[in-house]
Amino acid sequence: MNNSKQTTNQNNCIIFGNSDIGNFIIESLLNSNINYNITFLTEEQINTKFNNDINILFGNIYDPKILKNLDFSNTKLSICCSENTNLNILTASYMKSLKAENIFCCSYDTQYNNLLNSKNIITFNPWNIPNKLNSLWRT
Amino acid sequence: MIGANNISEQLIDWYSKYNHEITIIEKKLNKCHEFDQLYGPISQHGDATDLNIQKLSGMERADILIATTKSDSTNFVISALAKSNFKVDTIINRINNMNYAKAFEENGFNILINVESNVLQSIEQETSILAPWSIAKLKTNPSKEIIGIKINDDSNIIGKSISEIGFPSHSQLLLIIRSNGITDTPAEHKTIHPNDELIVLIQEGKKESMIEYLS
Repeated sequence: MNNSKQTTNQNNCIIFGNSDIGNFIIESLLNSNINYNITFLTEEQINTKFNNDINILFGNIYDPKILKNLDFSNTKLSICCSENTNLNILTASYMKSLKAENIFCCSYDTQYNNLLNSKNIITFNPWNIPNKLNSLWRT
Repeated sequence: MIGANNISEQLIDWYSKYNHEITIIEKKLNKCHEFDQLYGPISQHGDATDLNIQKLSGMERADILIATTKSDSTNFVISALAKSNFKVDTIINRINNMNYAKAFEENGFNILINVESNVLQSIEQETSILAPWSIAKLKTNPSKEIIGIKINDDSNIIGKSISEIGFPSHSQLLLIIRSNGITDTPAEHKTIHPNDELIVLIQEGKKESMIEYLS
């Protein structure tokens, strides 16, 4: 572990759903100079190089119970990035109802890009990661 | 309506009696043909989570959207698209997992139909001795609810008149259904008998205190 990394109790991140873009985001956050505490919710057993650096919660991602016990009030960033766009949209809205802030929702279809604007949820496409998100690992 | 299925079939029968314009959006072409043959040109073939399909279906003229697919996330996206792009007033959603209810409600999709809850409600009603069942929730301020309560043989209020019982201020007795099925309008002198069903208007959240009161 890099001791020069900045650590605060506000660096908790929740990543919902396993996908290429999710893995990319996790890797980027881990490689940044900030010490993020990442909780990753996934349905499948995964074996990645960062298995030991994140908390992995296995469960049915189609059942919101998996999110109910997480502490969103102490979470800096929540990202819904399963491979199912509809599920990401509903889950991001559900996270909002649990008082999560700074929510990002991955959509594989551009027609949904502004769908959750009124709820202050940023919808992004995997091929176009918004600055507000990638600035979290580029600082 | 989304999906050509048994629910939409029943609803078409019902709404067409009142001359409403109905459109069904359905993914399967053969289902569209089946419904068009039965009810005239009523179907829009396509995926309702696609904005263009919603446009083609005439969503901008819709007063009511009914989304009854088996997927909560599909229903949610359909509703969100229709609300944000076409300002549909009333959106009714089938919701399979009630844990998502808050997410639907916070996005303005307040009318949620949960099959499981409806089944439970029917069971509660059939086994209703001093377990009140909900009949309707009213959009009043404060929120009120109409409930039914079946009076047990050993309830303290048996043999008492309504004026003697003196219902709590947050409640109002609307109807008595006698054990032989005859309805009786409440009046101060009328008495409560075993197995009467009381239909009561209460403030939401006061169900438990009402049970205590009537037990």
